[in-house]
Amino acid sequence: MKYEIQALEGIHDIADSTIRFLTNKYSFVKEIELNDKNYLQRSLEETLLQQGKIAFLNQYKLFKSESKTDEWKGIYGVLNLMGYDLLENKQNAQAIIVFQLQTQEFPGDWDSFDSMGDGYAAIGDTANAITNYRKAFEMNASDTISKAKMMELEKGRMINR
Amino acid sequence: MEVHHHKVEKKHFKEYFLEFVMIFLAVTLGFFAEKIRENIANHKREKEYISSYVEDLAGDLITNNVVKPRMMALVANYDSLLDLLKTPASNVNHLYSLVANSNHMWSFVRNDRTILQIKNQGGYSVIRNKQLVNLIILYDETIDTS
Repeated sequence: MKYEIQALEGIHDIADSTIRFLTNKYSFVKEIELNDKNYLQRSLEETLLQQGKIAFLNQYKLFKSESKTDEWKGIYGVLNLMGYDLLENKQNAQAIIVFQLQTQEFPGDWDSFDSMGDGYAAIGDTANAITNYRKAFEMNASDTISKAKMMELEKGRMINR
Repeated sequence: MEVHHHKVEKKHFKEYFLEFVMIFLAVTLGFFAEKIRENIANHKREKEYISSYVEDLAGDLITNNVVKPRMMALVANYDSLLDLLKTPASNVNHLYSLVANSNHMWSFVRNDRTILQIKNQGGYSVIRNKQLVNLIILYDETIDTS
């Protein structure tokens, strides 16, 4: 596992230096609006924003049925990024839809519930936010961040994600 | 009946030479025109490959940034689990949560749409910058061996 983390660092460095090299070498690369989302995220996000929840869930199911298992392993990160991206853009209702899907798809992952808590906290639904932070903390005792956020909300304070 | 014989005029060397030059020029110009057309098409393909490769790399960086911290958290989780297992009177709830959270694997999956095109369509030959070709191969090999 530690070797895999080192490999990821190597991959990151090469990708980063290649992008720098291409940006310096080719003027047209500077004009490309580098999207920090992969195709899956872009596509799902556009569907959710333009066509709504049902179309989004249908597209998700379609992608899932068509994807190879290995590819699909990356979907957690896609959903997580997408949810936080929507929160950043104040599209809180859509973010909640994404986090709900994430908790349904990954019920054993404490981080899904922490994200769900963040979503509810963003729309001011303190009760549901606390419930989800508590669940995240109960699933992972070393998750002190969810616990801290839960305690802040219980004291009636605002929290930062 | 009188038969008219057409007189065949003998060609001069100069005329043969002129014909040769004209045919040679036509073939040569055709060859260069084809080369120019091919070059334009290759430059277009090169530009398309580079644009789409940059987008793939940018996506990979984001995936990497998501996967890496989670794998690091998993390593920390394993370490805590090992420490706890060495302790005789372990907290069962803590132990349970560590085991439950160790059962989640993260993997980095690259955007491979451009690299597949480059490989399948002989795209390396249209990328003129050899340093870039080396970087693409290095990146590919690093992912394959990780």
